Amino acid sequence: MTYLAKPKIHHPSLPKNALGYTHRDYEGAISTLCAGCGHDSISSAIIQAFFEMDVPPHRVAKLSGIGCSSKDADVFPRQFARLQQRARPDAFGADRRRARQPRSHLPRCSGDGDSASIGLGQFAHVMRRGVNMVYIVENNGVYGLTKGQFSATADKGSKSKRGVVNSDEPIDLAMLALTLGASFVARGFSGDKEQLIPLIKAAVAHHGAAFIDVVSPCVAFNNHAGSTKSYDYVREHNEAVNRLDFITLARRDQDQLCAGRGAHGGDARRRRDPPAQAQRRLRCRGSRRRDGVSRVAARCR
Amino acid sequence: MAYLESRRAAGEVVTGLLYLHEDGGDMHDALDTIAAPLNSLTDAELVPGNAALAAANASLR
Repeated sequence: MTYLAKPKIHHPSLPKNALGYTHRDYEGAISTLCAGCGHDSISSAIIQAFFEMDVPPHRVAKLSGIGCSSKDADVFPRQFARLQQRARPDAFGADRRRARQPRSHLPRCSGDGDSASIGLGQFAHVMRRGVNMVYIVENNGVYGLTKGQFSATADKGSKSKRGVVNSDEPIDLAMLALTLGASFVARGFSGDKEQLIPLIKAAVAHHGAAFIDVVSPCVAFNNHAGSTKSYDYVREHNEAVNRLDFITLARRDQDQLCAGRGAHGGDARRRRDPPAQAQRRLRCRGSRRRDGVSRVAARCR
Repeated sequence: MAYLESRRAAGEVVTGLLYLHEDGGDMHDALDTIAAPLNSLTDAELVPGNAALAAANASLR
């Protein structure tokens, strides 16, 4: 609930990770998003992922631009909110800076407006060039801050809250990332954290451009009948081609992860070694549905 | 991608890990850069001297 202050005192039995931090240590200020916003679930999933991966909270900073997706950067202890579409150059430089501060993790969180409209050019080149970053799009299909106009990812034929039918073809960012050469592409749903958290962990461990398109319903402007990005619609039409577990194979791998080297290791002043075991960290728990899925699932084993 | 497109046309939302290429590498691998930030390099590393410049120019002729 966004209007309740967070208690300053931790419950004594609050679970701690291997570093002795609690979940609360990874949180920042209170979210100012609408109650029930999918973006808050994504932020919570990111926090949970880093908590479970035993990455120190002061080594995590979220980069963002402008929009609802960028407001939730506030819920992290460290965040950088920048001009719209300017977070990608920041992340570009931050990738370099990570070598200076090799324990840092800097997920870049964007919205569908930021990535599919004004920032589409930068999104394309980040994916094309394989910039080593975790790129999460919180995709709600509308411009929530300006009262719910269709965004570029809104599906053709879907209806706005006022009943207007979208006549434009959507931009499928996951498909675009695939065509541009991203080496890690996933799609999640903010209402399914059980699936989303392992995807975020795997993206953090991945060496290269890791993209996750997360369908995140806007409770104020795009959560009604006729919307194709509402909670009800996505739950009814969610075709989960796989569900993964993220496994840390050995303590040595975990040390490398905390040292900011992902799975590829190596001295910061030397050329990077080839990435190694990211795929082995993923264990497929089996596909849920339908044909055509098994190929993807087999790749995860 | 054909599968994704077919499911999208059917109104389904495909979620999960869609593609993974673990040996894909990143931009720095492709450019063969060092991982250290440039501002941490010394003058000798940043300015290798006239001989290195002459060799670079010669390679472009």
